[in-house]
Amino acid sequence: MIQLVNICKSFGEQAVLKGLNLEIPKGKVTVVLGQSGSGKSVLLKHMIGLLRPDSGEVVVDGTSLSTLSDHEIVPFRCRFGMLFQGAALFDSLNVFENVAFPLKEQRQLSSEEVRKIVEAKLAAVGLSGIEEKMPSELSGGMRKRVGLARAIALEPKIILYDEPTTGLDPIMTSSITQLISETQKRLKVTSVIISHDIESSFNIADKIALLHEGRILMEGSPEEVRQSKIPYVHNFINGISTGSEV
Amino acid sequence: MKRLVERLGFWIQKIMEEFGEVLSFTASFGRWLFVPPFRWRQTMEQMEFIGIGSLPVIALTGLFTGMVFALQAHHSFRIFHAEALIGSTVGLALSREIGPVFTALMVTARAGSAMAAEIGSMKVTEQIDALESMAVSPIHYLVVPRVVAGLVMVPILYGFFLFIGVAGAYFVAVGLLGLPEAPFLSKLYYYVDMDDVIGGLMKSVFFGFLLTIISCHRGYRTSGGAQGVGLSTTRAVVISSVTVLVADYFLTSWILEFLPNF
Amino acid sequence: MTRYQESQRNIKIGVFTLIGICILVYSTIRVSDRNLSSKGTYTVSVVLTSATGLTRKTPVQIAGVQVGYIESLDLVDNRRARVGLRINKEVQLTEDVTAQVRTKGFLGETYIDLMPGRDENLIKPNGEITSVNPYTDLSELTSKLSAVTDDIKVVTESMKRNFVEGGNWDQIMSNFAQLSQKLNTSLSSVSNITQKIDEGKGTIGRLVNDEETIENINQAAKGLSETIGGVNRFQAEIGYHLEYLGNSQSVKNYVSLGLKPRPDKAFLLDFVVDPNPPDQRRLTTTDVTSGGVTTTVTTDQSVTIRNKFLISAQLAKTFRDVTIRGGIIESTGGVGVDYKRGPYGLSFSAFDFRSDYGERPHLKAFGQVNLTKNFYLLSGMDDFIAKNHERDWFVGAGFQVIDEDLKSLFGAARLK
Repeated sequence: MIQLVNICKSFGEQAVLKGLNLEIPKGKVTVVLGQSGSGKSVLLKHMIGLLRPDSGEVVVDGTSLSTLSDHEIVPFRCRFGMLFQGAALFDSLNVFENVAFPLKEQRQLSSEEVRKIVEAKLAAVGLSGIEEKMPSELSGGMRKRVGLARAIALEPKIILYDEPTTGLDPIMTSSITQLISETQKRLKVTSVIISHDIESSFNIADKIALLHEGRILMEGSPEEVRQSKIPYVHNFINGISTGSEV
Repeated sequence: MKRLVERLGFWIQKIMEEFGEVLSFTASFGRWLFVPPFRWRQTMEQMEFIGIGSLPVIALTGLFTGMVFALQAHHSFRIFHAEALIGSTVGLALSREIGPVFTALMVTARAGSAMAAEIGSMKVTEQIDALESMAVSPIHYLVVPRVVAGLVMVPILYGFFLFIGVAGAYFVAVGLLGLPEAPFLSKLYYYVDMDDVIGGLMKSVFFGFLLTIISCHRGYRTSGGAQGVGLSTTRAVVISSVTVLVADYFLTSWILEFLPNF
Repeated sequence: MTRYQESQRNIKIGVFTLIGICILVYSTIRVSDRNLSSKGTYTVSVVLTSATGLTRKTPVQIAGVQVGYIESLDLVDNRRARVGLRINKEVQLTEDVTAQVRTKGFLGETYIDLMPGRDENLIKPNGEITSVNPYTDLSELTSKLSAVTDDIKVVTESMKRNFVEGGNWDQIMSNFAQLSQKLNTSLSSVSNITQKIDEGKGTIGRLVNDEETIENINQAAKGLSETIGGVNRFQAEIGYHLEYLGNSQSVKNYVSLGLKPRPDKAFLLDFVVDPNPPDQRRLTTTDVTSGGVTTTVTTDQSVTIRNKFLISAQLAKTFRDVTIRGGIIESTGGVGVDYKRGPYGLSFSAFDFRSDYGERPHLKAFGQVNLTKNFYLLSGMDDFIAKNHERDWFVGAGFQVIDEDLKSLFGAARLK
């Protein structure tokens, strides 16, 4: 379980998070919705400790991140897997090395064991046989899937997805969404998905939170959100522009 | 006038900010330097890139610097009938000043810019964040190998620069201008000291450190897409080059203090 | 990257690094002082009254062969210099060895010359050389020369004073008498020095009498003048011409000096001896008291000074064939214009605009034909709008040399 308590974060003069409170339930899929630039990625990076809040606390399974030093936070991060927006594969490494990277860094395994795990993870995302390719040779969807294979390589307890379907064609979008929900069922992990893709979010979410102006405007089950009478929430999930959002 | 003062204040603030950032960056480099495991593979990769990769350009600049130096020295020394001193003049200049500084500048232009661009693009494509999310320190994985490679390779490149530069001067003086070989070599060996070469080595170790840490820092601080990467690359080269030249003065005065014969 | 590629790369880096380290070690060892002697070195010291021109690493020679170098320079008793010499071990110095600071070459490259004695005893390491020959060098002769230069300076200065102030001839002559006396003494000391030089005494003597050195000096000087010329193209012209004045049947002499920092700009200086200058008018008022009645008498005197010294100093600027100049002409304000095309030239000057007694400005116009690069003829009219007798015509001849020509004139000495 991840608890975010009263998180404030500013970059320079610009306040991105203004006293945000959110609870991520264990073993469930939570989708955080929000407009572009509303601070969703910033929120996600707080959960894994890539960013530290100006004030407030991030508590993961009872441990407060702010009490950890830069060195202590390192083993803590092994509980997480993160899929980045652009997949963030290492350009200089091929697909095999990318997926093997966390294994080589964090586990004392023989190269044979590493090979087996990498092949299994690539098979799980449906990309067997591309081990020798470089990231630059892959399409956007393939990259995301390799990124996912890398994120689940260490079999983490929590997986964070930063806009997993942004920039993909509809077929690839549904295939990624399916992959996420399969992964969820198979590994029994806690998933946090940052997205502005309403349709696929409602399909896989156990809980939906709507981020607006640095706070959580609304949280609840997909059904509750769908029924919401709050004007902004209504407009957001139905894609209605009032002309004042920009 | 007020605007001028404001601008000046702004620049001073900028410079101090950069200086402070580089210092704390250096401190975290120092913390990670001795944390095992030592990343041999990355370090070797960077050594190949900085060392072997820069050898052609270093050889070329060294050769022509030595050659043009001999030509110019001959032009001036002819007046005083002191052509015999060409060898020692070129040797002293190359070993004490031109060798370390030119080597550092060439490595900055070639490898420093590449480092800033590589780390910068890793930063903007979240690869740095990805490293951290996998509990790998970017400093440990990216910066330490590069700085260590710079520390080792720049002095060695200085050795090549010096040797090839003096060989170029020899070629021009003895081969083209037809000066006698013996005085060229004897004055070279006589007036150039072990301390000159050691002082040059000390400088290039320092320059190697400065240019890699500054370039890595600039890359690490990149923000804002492809344009940001371009800006970081440019600034890495500018800041490193200026720092090398400024540091050269202070290093020289410092080495003069500690090496009695420098 | 496969294991094989990786090991290939590591081998490459290893070879590269090894070669680099070898080069560095080779360089440091090659230049270190150890190779001066395979058998090692030892030190001795010598105390000199002056260590001028000596530095660390200055060579120590015996009979022209280098046997060591200066390692240290210190002051002893706050008055003399103690010089530490590092000598090759295989060279053994006797106790009565004599040390002398000497210079060689045009630039005065110094070295210490050791002259071994006949003593059986050898100087021990860290011992002292007690016998020192005095320092004979350029500086001694140079100081004598500079005294002479000072005299010459005095002479030229008073010449200048006389010329500028336009004092009368007698005074100048008497000054000259004094000056030439001074010059005589100066010249005698010059001749002393040159005699010494001829005899080959002192460094200069050896220098001058050594064919090789002269050749070296010439080469050096040639290069120097080429360099200076290349940088600012400074040119100097020296000339002389005379004009025979037809009416007054006298000769007017001109000595001229032109300095051209750039081809189109010049500073022109002329010394003129005018045998028949315009009269100087002077009004004197005298009160004459006679029988209680005071009358003021004004006398108008016209004074003619023969062989008057005049000076011209003008700035000139050239536009293509035309040169405009102005400044002081024959000790008065004036302007002029010259036209020059090929060997032919026309000149016009206007000066002396005083008109207290209705005089008209002094105008002078002449044409000039260059016969060779250096010699020319000229003819023209002088003061041709004057009312009185000064109106004159003239023919003349002159020569002019530029500094390039001077070099060839001076032949062997080559003042390049």
